[in-house]
Amino acid sequence: MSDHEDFNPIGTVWILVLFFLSIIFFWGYAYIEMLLRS
Amino acid sequence: MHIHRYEKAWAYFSLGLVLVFFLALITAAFAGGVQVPGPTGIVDPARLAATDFAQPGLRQLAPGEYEVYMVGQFWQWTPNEIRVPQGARVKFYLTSGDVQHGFKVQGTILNAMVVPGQVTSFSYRFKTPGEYRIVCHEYCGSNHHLMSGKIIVEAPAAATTAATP
Amino acid sequence: MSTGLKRITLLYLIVATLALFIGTLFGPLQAFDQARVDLYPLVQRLLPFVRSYYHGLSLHGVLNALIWTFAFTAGFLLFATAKALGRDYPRLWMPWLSLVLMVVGLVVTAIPMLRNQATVLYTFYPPLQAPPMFYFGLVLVVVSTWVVGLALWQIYGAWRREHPGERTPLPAFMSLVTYTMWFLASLGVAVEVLVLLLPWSLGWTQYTDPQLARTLFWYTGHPLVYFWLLPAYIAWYTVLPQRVGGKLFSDPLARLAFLIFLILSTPVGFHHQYVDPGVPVGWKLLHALLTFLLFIPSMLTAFTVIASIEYGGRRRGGRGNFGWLWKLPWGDPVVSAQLLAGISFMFGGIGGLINASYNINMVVHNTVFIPGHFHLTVGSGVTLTFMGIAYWLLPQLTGRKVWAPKLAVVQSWLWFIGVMVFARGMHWAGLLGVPRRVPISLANYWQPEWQLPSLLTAAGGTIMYLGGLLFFLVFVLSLFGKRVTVDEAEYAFAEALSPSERAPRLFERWGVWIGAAIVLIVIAYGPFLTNYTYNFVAPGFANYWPR
Repeated sequence: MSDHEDFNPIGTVWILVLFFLSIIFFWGYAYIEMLLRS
Repeated sequence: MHIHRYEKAWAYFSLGLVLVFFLALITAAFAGGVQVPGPTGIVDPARLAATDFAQPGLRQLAPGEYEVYMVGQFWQWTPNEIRVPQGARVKFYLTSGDVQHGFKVQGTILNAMVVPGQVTSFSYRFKTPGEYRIVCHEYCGSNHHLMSGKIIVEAPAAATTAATP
Repeated sequence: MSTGLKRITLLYLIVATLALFIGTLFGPLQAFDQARVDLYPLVQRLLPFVRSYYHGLSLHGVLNALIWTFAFTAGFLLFATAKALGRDYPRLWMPWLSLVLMVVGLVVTAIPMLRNQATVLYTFYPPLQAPPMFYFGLVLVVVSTWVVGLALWQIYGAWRREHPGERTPLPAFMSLVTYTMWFLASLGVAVEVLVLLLPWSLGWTQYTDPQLARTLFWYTGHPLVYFWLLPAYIAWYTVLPQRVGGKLFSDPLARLAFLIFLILSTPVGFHHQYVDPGVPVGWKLLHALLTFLLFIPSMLTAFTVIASIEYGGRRRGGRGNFGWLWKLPWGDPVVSAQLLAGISFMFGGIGGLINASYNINMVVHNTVFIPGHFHLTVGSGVTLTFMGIAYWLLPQLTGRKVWAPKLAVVQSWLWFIGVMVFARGMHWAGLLGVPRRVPISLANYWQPEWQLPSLLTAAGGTIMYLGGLLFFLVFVLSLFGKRVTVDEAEYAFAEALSPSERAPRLFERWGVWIGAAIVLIVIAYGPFLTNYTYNFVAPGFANYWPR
């Protein structure tokens, strides 16, 4: 086992979860805009 | 090659995300009819007189069904204003007589490039009455910022009033 | 490292920064214009050669998006590759030649531009027509980038003969991928300019095909944004982790991400042409799918880079889920600029995904949503990273301290806050229908609901510009700063937690990856180009802009 497997970047996971949710929120907003305008 | 389990999970999540998005887009395009324009034909901008663009304007095909031929040319649309009744489905045919222009109808999904030599087409049903601005959104020289037109969608009552002055 | 290379890199940085200085002059003018304050009449009193908003916008686009990025990248990657390989260029005249070509190309392009003869914006869509000099100058600029690429392959070849069987050091590997991708990608615009536009501008041919020109332009136009971005990623992977006291989380995965960029950066150009009339819907859809797959290596980069930084923050005593963030050396401008660039870039990524989304693109295409997006990416993710890298390079090149590092930190914050406010305004205004590339103060279709977002745009643009001015100040004064002995350890590339030896040998077999890239390009563009109805009907329109 090296450092690589021992180190679990939990903070990174949290930041990326927030990022993931923002993507879904903003993209979903744009998708709905598209449907409303068509 | 060893990949950390968190990172592997993140890669799968990301892949899943874009694939779900892609499916949602295809569904809107092919089941919902929100489709991007495709090739309609080619023209010679110097010989528009020999094409359907010879007399640009709105034509009624059937009740509630229209087609409009429009030409973008330094620095206006011809016709620059069209009137249709509420609920009308309008098929647009656009081309350019000179440089590239862009065609966007505010408040709608209508948004396309108008390229010399090409015909751009799409159709749209105007469900809500009102005045819709057309703006040119591709840089076309000196008065690009003044190149705008109007689509007026008339409510049934207004249309009757207009018919009997 | 030879003083010759240091001199070349420093000159590249100076050329790049000079281009940015002139290019960004017009930034606040455009931002104010959004809020319907036309400053151009005022500017014409100070700089009488500036004829119009469109003139300023053309200079803004070419100088910032092409010259600043190309010149900085050349300097940074020529330097980083030699540093990582621990040897000099076998033929140093090649980097010199690239620099000369860049400078001559810039001057030749700038002359017609400054004289308002090439007010065709940085996309120079025909049939708006610039004089031959403009296209010729751009050719020289692109050839300069090719010479940089050749020099990189030469130094790699020399190193490889001395180190058979070894893994290529990561910064060199990534630099090679960047320029190899660009070789393949720049062919489109090379054909557009050399075959279509230059002969047509010279009067040798009378007509051109604007739809074909657009297609060739965007063949290069999307990988162009990766040519801007990959050098910033290189900084995030190889410089930033070391600077925050961490280690690169995974070297092999970083390589994999770059190889995916090599393969997928080019066959995606139609996603800039979703609403073009001449491109069949099926091909647009294929490019949409490939663009979505191209999102994955950026997501991998987000993970690897943030995890590497987290490792550093924890070594510095950070605790809890987010505590490590505050332990990072925010007082180091090399770090603050790159971290803030990364944050703004994440928002840019979200907007990019929206733009790439096929039919959703019709909501935002050619509205100010698009420049709002790319100021977060190239305007901040890349540019602010380059500013941070300038603070990293300058002491190594000159043996002098960065002048007022605290001010440099303030600089990065101003740029970051400015671009976030600016982009908030632009994205919002774009959704409300404000078209891009329009002097809104003069337009005849202004809407009251555009007021608030436009004010954000103007305010954000101004703050950004103040950050820019501070950068120029720090940059110039650092050239004359206090002499110091540069501690090599402080400027080392990051070590990796999961080292390069774990990467499959396949990653070093260039033929496989370049071959795969070519195959995908042929699939994505071949059938379109053979079935396309060529239509050379457009004569040139020169000087159809405000004189």
